[in-house]
This record gives sequence, structure tokens and C-alpha cells, in this order.
Amino acid sequence: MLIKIKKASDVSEHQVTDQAVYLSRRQFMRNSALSIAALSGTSSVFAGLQQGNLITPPASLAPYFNNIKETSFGVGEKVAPFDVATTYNNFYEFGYGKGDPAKRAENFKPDPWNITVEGEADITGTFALEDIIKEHQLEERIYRLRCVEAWSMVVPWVGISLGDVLKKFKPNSKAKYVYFETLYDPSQFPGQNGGNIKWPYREGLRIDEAMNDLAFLSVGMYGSVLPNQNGAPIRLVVPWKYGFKSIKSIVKIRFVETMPETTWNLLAPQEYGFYANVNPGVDHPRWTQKQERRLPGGLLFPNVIDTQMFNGYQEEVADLYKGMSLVKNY
Amino acid sequence: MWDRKEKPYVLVVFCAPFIWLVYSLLSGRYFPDPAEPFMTLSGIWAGVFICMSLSITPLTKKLKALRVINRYRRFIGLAAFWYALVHLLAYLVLHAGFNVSWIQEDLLKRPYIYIGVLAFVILTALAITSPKAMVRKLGKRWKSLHKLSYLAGLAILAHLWWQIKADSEIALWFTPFLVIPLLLRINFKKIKINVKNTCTKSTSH
Repeated sequence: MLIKIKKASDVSEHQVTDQAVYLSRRQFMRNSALSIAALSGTSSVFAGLQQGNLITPPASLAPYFNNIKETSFGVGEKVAPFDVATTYNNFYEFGYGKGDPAKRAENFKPDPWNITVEGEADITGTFALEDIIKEHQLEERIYRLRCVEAWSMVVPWVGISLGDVLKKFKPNSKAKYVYFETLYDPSQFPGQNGGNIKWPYREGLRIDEAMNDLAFLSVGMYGSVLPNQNGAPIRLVVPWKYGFKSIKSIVKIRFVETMPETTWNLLAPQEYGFYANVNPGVDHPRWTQKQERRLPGGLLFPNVIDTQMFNGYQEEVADLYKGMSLVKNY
Repeated sequence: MWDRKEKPYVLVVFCAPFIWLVYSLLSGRYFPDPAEPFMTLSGIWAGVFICMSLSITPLTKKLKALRVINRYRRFIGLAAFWYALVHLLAYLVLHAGFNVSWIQEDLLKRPYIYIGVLAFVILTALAITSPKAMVRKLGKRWKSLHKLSYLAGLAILAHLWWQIKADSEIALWFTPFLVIPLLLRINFKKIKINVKNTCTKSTSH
């Protein structure tokens, strides 16, 4: 007999809303803006946005997307509608506004894509994206994404366990951290022309964090490849940390011995730490982290919920930080 | 108050941003998180009217042709108050969802939020004392009370710079429009004497 032990991060049945309900609510809102369309019942203009991810994977990746393994991660969570997750993004390479990435990502070229692996590992070099994923089966994981700005949404990612990918490169004993870098190409990323940020975007994890089963390398969402504005073609997803840790459009993975520099930490070290674990007990210097707005909310009233320690993934990751002060190591 | 023909049109112009904001909100334009765009835009409009309000005195003193603006002094000030109120309501409802602990936390610990509240309190006091009857009633005290608008300007400046994440564009745009009217109002003759005094003091040891 299978006995299912409920983890704290699982949600109970009453919290579950059918995705269709959300989609129809969204549709209602669009229609109220376009009353003519609503009256005649023709909302087909937006049908593509509402039905999920309709992007066709490039030929090199298509076979892997035909065989996606389902997992129990986040089963029953209220998933954000696809068009919410793809039009409300923080991706400063495309601009500061939440809507900028969706507007400016059209000409971005995620295919072909190479990733350079370097540093403290036996196997290094430059690999095509398909070569990195071909030895793994893609799986779907529904994760909560909590932004440091106090909003959150639930996204069904498609990808591979980060640890499984990293192990293939055989990191050596000096590999204490793993460092990631986003593509630097101002011709594709207009936001990289200036600003206060030292490009390219950089992020990093401690090696044991990277090897934790929750750490995920995503190549897709909502059943197909990542839209450009969500970090195509390959991005990190570390759901127990604030969203900025989940670096997008990765071109470099480096195994290193010392704690690497990370973009937001470089920009404002007193506000954004290296660890950046979701923690309602440690406020951002300028705002509280005790609550969050779960998106999408209502037309006027947001869906405010209490923020959970490690974004509700305590059971999976709390051991990583045993004996560490999370106030000091924010 | 409505003795001039153009006044209704001016009212429409001043209300247009508000109508657009509310229309956009209710039509789902700011979906899925209306807090950010609505707060930013209502804040910008409050700032625009405050900058206008602060500039009237120095402008009309220097350029006599612009004296016609004096007619809208009260009106511009009230518009600033109105947009500040909308901005505050947007924070309370759209951003914090009337969540008491969220608001409490912000008010107790976030300097940029309580300095924004300070600016709002000043604007409220000025709005309440803006009717002609109040002007008469307060007499001389009215003028000194309404000089608090400059303090509100400074508070807004701090409110803007204190909340920057990576994008300082809005703060940069507003800074000259808040600082220059303030500088123009300072009586430098008086200050120079003070500066001299402090200089001799500091060089003597």
C-alpha cells in the first residue's frame, strides 16, 4: 500500500483552483476592456495567450519535449496563467519595466545555443544545449517563485535536476561553488547598453545547494520551451531563494573554490546577500518580507499571503544551512 | 472660483491622468500586479503637480507674463494633494491589500515610506487650509503654514532617492524640479552671514 506522507510544502485540496477558472477570470477581465468583443463573444484574439505555451520547440530539442516526465512537485498548486508568467517579468537585460521583456524579446535567438563549462571539474569545454540535455529525461516541476520585491507566482517548469547535469562534468574537490553567467550581447539585450548593472548578469550557488534535489535547470515551461522573456533557452530555478538567484539565458557554468561575485550583491551588498534564501524573518532594508502578493490577484485587491521560510521548502533545504546564521548570511 | 472661462478646461486637463489611471486599472491594463504601475504613475502625477506648485512663486516673480498662473495656485496645490491621496490609497489597497501587519511593518521600519507619509500629512494640512475662509481665519499664520510645502518637496526628494533599486530615472528627473524652486526661495543674503561666522570659527582652531 502506498502511504503518502504530506510535506509542508504540499498544498491541501481546498487551496486548489482549477487553472481553467483562472483562465476564464483573465478572459473576463480582457473582455471587460473590450466590451464589444465580450458582447459578440469573440475573444479569440487572445486565445493564443490563454491556451498555454504554443511555442514550437526547435528541431534539436523537439524529441525531448515529446517525452516529459510528470513529477509530484507542486501538485495541486494554483498555477499562474501562461500569459501572466510571460508578460510580468524582471529581466533587466530587456529593460527595467515588468512588461519590457515580453515586448523586446522577440528578436532574441535562443537557438543554436552553447554553454561553456570551466573551472574545477574533470570535464570542461563548450557544449551545445542539446548535448547537455540529451542524457536526461525532461521532467515537469511546479514551483513557487518568490521575488525579492514581495510578489510571487506558481510556474510549471520543464527541465532537468541541476545536480544531475553538474555531476556529468565531474567537479573535483576544489569545486566549492558553482558560478553562472548570462549571455552578454547588447545587440540582443538592449538593457545591457548602460545602466548601473555590471554586465553580464552573474549568479552562484554553494556546491551543496546546487546538488540539492530542488535545484533545477529549466529549458521550458507550460509544456514547451521557455519563451525568450523567461530566460530562454536555459535558466536556473532555485525555488527556496529569491527570484534573482534564478539566472536566465545561461552561457557559462564555472566550478570555483571561493564564493563568486553575484550581480545584485555587487550592486547593493547590504540589501542582497549571496544566499538570498526566502526568509520572512529577515526584512529587506527597505521593505518587509513577511508577506507577498501571489499573482495573479483580483482586479483591485491583491492576493496577500504570508511568506514561508525557504518559500515553504524547509523540509527539502533547511539542512543545508544548519548552524549558519541566516540573519548574517541573508 | 469659476469666474474665468478657461477654468473648466483646466479642470478636465488636471483630471485626465486620474481618469486614465482608473480606466486602465478597471479594464485590466495593469494586470496581473496593478500595484507597481499604478503606484508609480499616481506618484509621478503627484510629483508633477508638486513641482508645478513649488515653481509658481519663483516663476511669477521673475516673469511677469506668467502671472496668469497665480489664478491656479490653489488648484494646482489641490491636484497635488489629490494625486498623493490616490498614490497612498494605491499603496494601501493594491500593494498591501489592506493587510494590517504589512502596513504596520512598513510604517515602523521603512524610512522612505514614512517620509512619504510625512509629505502626505503636510499636503493634507495645506489642502484643508486652502479654502478662502481658512486663509482669512489664519491670517499671517497661513503663509508660514503653507511654507511647509517646501518641506514636503524635500520629503518627496528623499522618498524618491531612498527607494531606488537599480533604475534611478524617475528620481533623476524630479530632482532639479524639486531642488531649483527651493534654492530660488532661499534668502542667500541671510545665510551668507551665517556661513562667514561658521567659517571663522572652524579655521580658528
